[in-house]
Amino acid sequence: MSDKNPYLPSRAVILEVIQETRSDTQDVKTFRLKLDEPFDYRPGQFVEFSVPGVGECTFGFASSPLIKDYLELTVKRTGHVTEHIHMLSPGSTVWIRGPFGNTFPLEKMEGSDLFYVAGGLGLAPLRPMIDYIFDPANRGKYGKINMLTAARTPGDFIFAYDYEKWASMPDTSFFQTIDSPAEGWDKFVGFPHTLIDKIPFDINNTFAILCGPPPMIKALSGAFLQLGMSPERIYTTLEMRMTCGIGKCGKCNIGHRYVCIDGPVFSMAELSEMPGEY
Amino acid sequence: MDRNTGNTKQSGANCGTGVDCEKHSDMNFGSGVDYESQARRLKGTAAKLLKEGTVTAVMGLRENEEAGQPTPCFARTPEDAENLVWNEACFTNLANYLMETAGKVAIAAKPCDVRSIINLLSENQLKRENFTIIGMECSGKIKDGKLAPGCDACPSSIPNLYDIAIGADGSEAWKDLEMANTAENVTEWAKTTTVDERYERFMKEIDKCILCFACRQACQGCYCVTCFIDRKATPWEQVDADTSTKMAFHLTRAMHLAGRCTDCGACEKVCPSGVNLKYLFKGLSEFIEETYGFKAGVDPEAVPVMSRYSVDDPQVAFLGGDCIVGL
Amino acid sequence: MSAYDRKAYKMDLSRAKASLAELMRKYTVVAPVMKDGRLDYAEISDVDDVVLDERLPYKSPKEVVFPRVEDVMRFLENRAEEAQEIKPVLLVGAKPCDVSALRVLDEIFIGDKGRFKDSFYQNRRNCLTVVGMGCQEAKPGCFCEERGIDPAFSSDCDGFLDPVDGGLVYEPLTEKGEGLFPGTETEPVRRGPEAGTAGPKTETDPTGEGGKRAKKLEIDASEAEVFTTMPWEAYTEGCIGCGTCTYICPTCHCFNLRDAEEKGIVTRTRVWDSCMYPKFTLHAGGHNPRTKKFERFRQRVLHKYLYIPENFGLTACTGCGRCIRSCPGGLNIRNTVSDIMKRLKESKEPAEAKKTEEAEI
Repeated sequence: MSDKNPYLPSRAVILEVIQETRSDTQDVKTFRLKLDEPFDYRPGQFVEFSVPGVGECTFGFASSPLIKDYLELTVKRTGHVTEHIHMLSPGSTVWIRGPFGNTFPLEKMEGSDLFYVAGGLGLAPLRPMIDYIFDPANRGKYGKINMLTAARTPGDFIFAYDYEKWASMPDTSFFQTIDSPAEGWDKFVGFPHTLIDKIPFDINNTFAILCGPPPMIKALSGAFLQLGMSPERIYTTLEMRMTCGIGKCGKCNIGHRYVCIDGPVFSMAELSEMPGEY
Repeated sequence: MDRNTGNTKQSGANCGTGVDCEKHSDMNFGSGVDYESQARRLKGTAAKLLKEGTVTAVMGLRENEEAGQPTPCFARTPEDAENLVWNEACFTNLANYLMETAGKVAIAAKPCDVRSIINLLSENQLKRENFTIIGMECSGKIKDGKLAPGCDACPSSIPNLYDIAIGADGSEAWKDLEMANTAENVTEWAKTTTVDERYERFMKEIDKCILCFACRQACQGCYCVTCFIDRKATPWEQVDADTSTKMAFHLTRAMHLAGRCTDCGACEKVCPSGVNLKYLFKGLSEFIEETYGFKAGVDPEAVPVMSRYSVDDPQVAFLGGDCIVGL
Repeated sequence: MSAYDRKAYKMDLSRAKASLAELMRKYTVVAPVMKDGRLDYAEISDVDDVVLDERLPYKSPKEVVFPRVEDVMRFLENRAEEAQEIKPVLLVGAKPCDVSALRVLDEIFIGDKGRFKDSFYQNRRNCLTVVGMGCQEAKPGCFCEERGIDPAFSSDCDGFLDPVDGGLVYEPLTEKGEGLFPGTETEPVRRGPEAGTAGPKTETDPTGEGGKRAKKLEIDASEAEVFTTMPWEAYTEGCIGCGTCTYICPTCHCFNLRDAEEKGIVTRTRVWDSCMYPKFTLHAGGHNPRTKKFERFRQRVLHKYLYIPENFGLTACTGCGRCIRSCPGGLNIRNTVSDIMKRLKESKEPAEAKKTEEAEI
């Protein structure tokens, strides 16, 4: 435990702002930042992002830790603080503290196949892991990779500029789905949990990594469990209201777990033992 | 028991207030109430209603030595009804619980509680057919050894609305007791003090305030799903619980209660810091009564004064006095 | 260290007050004082205001380490820096329940079982010296003994004061506590088993045998066993959501961080929050995991009696009884926990209970 005050953020500068989507349902931007003093992090972790005078918010990292020149955070305009974040432009100073939270158990997953399923903004916290594993230094440690990303409409997909790259990765299949049929759409239609049996994967040697709205997670994990997957092989990352991020203020308690310390990454096995207060 | 220090003082009668009962008669709260008979009748009535299945719960109070005052009790069976008490320390206003309960309930209500219920009825927050009012005649309650907040202004020992009457002697007949009537007239006080003196009184009170919002929670008039102070559009949050936020909260809450406050005193009864700001609401009530001839908590059918407009309304505007603003 | 190795000092009340007056020059002294007819821990300006007797002050003294509102940080052009105003504080006359509560806060904020240390708390704690004093009388609502706390003594402070005939005896317990109250050297006051009596005498326990109380009041179960199976709605019925319990509690520590900008300088402030408020867990997107009051009371009880013990090793309730005394709705955490344990016991041993019943008939 270092002596550094965990509440004091470090300064960063916005390099670029990427408009991911703008539809009736969501306004999402990705902020590419450079910290004055970069720090290391692992996929699954999060930061507390301050707009001084306005407030502080929790965001999961959205870019691979192997990228040293910058880090990315993907922000949906939802409330008071995110509205102010969306008004920032390249050159603005921001304040970040972290990394906090636990991480996806990447070592445990070595040798297995991976099946990512993400809904809407849920793709963002998975992206560090996705890109980390796609790096040539790591790709060989994992088997077949399936990716299914879901969005309401064709215009609601985030990181669309990465899809071609991911689809062409070794031993990787990439799928997209939308809620209801749209003109010109020739890919999957329907909720993700109705599609997983259409995608071939080895039920006994796969880890499922899910992220999205709670009803989607519940439906998906139910579907995987029904197909015979063990709950210890299904992972998700939770969202909770946080303030301190370091296990003191009590806001993110789910049962005896603190989402900021014991999470945000949890396996279905762990979640099934926790009260449903999230 | 003194709730502040936790000290218990033995009193003659078991009224649970920890105050020497001999001294009670010196205080002008108007005696003449036979609590034992009222309590007996209340318990009997509750047991009967529950046995008949007319209601699913009877809301009253039970003895609570640890809390130093009787606390809310929701009797659901005739046996539970035995736990109900009624005495000088039963000052708690139960009206707000009517907004949470499902099914038909009965509520033991004093005149001030009934005024709260009437205000909620007039604002369409309650349905009259969902509850039975057991009206309890009352000439004042005791808290911390003196007349409970609000009792000094209460006009009558008889509730304005009831289904079952439990008079001062436990019978169905009201005795129409003498009331304390010792409340200050805030308008007169305002006329005889300087601005600085009035400011000082307000600041002295809010100095004690810790902005816990217990007053708001206990108030029948405060039922907004999101209170103005909790809205995030403007950050009203408690950065500094000292002055500006406290002033904003209390003054705005007073304005929101103009013409709606029923003088039940729940705000001061529940405050953990002993803040006395009821006089703000009373001052506004006096103004409303004088200007628009309206008093909250009297007539459940009345249209709330701030919800109606007439071209004949007196135009007593920001400048005060008999200012007629013409165009 | 046996009783005979410890040193203590006897002084009369005027000597004690003179020492306090001296200490006021070095420390901000916080002690019980009468204010508007109520006993409270407060910063003293006049040593004659101090009341050192058996009564428990109305509010807890947690503000000495965890203020209601505190500027903690400010943002400057290129860095964020600490903005606390810290002075040495001497807390005198803290009752054992309050001293134990400080220990609970220490474990949570800066203890080894937490992954991080809360620097703001640490800064204040470093400058705090605590002198305890015993309770001679349990009040309605108090249940510290059931929580395993001796109302007459606590070894978790820097020094302890005992009232004796003619004055006070002061026993330093740590280096910080040495030399605070000089007096005539004497033997420390014997307490508990050393004195041959189990504990202090109380209204309900006139022989003091209660000190030997067997079972501590705690929840000895897992979340799964108590989360949905207990009558939480019934426990929470009278709650009006005022949050007084959390304000007055010596171990409650939920907080919020707020920013404010004035004349170009942004200050971040730590303020108390309450898990009993409906909007405590409200997400920006509108979702709220705890919309019902019984869910919030359940969180409060289990946080103190299950989650903090699981994460930090001790129960976060010292039985001071303040929440019970001040709740206008009649909620009672002691009765709730006691009822939960009773139900758990009954559900685990129905066969046993039935056998005993039959035997009694």
